[in-house]
Amino acid sequence: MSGAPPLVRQVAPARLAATAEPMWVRRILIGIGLTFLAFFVVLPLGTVLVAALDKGMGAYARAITDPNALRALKLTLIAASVAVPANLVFGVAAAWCVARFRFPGRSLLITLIDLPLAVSPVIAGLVFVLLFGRNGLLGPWLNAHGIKVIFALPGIVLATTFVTFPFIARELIPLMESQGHEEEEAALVLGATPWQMFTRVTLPKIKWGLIYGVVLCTARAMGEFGAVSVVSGNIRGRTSTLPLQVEILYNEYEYQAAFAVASLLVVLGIGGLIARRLIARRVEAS
Amino acid sequence: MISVKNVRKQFGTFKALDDVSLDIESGSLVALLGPSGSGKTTLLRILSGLEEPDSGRALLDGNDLSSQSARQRNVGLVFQHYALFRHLDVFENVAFALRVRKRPTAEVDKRVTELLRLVQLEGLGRRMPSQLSGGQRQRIALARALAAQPRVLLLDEPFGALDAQVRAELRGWLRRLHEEIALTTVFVTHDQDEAFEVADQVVVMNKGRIEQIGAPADVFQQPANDFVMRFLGHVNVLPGQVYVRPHDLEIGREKTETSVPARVVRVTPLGSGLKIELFAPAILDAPLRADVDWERGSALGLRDGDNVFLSVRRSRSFAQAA
Repeated sequence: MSGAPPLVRQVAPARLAATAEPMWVRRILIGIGLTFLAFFVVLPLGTVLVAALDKGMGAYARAITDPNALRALKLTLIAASVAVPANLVFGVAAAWCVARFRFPGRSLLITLIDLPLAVSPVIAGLVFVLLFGRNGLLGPWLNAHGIKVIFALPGIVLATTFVTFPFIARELIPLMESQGHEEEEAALVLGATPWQMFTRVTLPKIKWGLIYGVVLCTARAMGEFGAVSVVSGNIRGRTSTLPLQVEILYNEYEYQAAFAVASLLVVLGIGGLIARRLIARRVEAS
Repeated sequence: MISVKNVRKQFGTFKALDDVSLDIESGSLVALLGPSGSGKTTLLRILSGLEEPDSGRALLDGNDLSSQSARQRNVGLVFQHYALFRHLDVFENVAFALRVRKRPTAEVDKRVTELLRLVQLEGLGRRMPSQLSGGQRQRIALARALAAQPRVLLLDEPFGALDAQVRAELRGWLRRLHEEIALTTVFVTHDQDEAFEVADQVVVMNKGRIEQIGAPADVFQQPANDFVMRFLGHVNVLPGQVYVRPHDLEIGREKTETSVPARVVRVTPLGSGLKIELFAPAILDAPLRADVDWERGSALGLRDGDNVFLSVRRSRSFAQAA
């Protein structure tokens, strides 16, 4: 029984709120977090930049203005500029259907939207090869009409579109479901045509979520490696996108050039992250 | 005039409207009153064009509405949760119906200013809906619905989401507005006080059917059946389906020819008098409720547990309530 009074005294001075950890716990947790971040994010990205500038600014400039690098950049931008608008239209349409209607096959559609995230991009690439390749399902027909899909731009665009199609739809579905449909109904009763309702009410309502989805989709479209690698055949200067170009250079022991090209992707990625951060704030506010 | 003829509407297995027919006079203010699931909102949505009836027709001034889409009908609809456009300011919300009709800017400005004055919110045009109180939002929703000079004004539980005081204020205001602009108005409510206070005609609905149509006083004093009796205020149900309103029970200290002994279970003050729960085993083996006014209450000096005598001043029974 003599142990009881000290116990009471121990509890009394602790006036912390129930959820606040003591200072030393907080310091350790923050320390672990920062160390982890430094090792796994800052250090690798720093290494890319250091290695890219290893042989000086001149070599860096030469590496990123190399015709093959420029062609890869162009190809990446073309693929993204087709895939993103295509997924914009598809994403809005799919989110509209799922959020607005109850129909047979609705949950199947929701599952299918997530499919590209669930399967390995390499498998996605292989599917397109099996469909459009020389010996594929549609291969003979395409061949007879002189259309080249695999090992060419259309294949790259298809693979990129496939891999990135969940991003916009997934961003919009919960948003549209939470916003409901009353404003659209109000617009119709007030005399709006369906198109006026869409442009004057629906689009402004989902604007920030949509832009956020586009940023995510663009980042992924430019960074995609696996699926594009399989369908493009990775022909230097012809069908290699930026990530593929990095791999080619790296495999040829052109480390400095590989990192220089990689730094372009890093810049695109960080730009996307900053845009995403700014937009996320607007999404929360709206 | 609005005519609804034999309208049916089913959602899955749920019969929202079951052969409903109704005529609404031009310029009148009608309340659709009923519990949730009675079909009143569905009827309103069919009139507005947001739902199609499975069968039957709705006519406005003799023209069949079913051939017209929501936007061709030109009806004003006010939603329970306002449904203001959150990305547009108050002015543009009110202007919406005119903008989509591509009216000239000068006309839009004039009309919106006029409407904001009508709903007593001039000067708030540049506010966003999120910066307004519930009562202000509802008035903006009303101004928006009136912008294109609709032929009919429909309101779906217009005051349901507001607190009691604002609600009472807006009821009076809606009544005055209706007297001012004399627009045929139909509003949905589950609140009988609201229906009785605001409407010229009350349509009592239940399970997709109309139970009774009439002026508020008639519906209350001459309920057509046991549902209407039960729905409009508290009622004591005695054996043999005899219905007695709480104010039709008389409490006395002395035994009379028609009275039976009762014991007071509980006395609760209400705004207008006292609510008294009694137990009268001779009539019913469950507590009864009697309402008395303050004067009568203090004259009786009732306390919990008192023994009194109870008589029925007026009762009602319905043949079909078997």
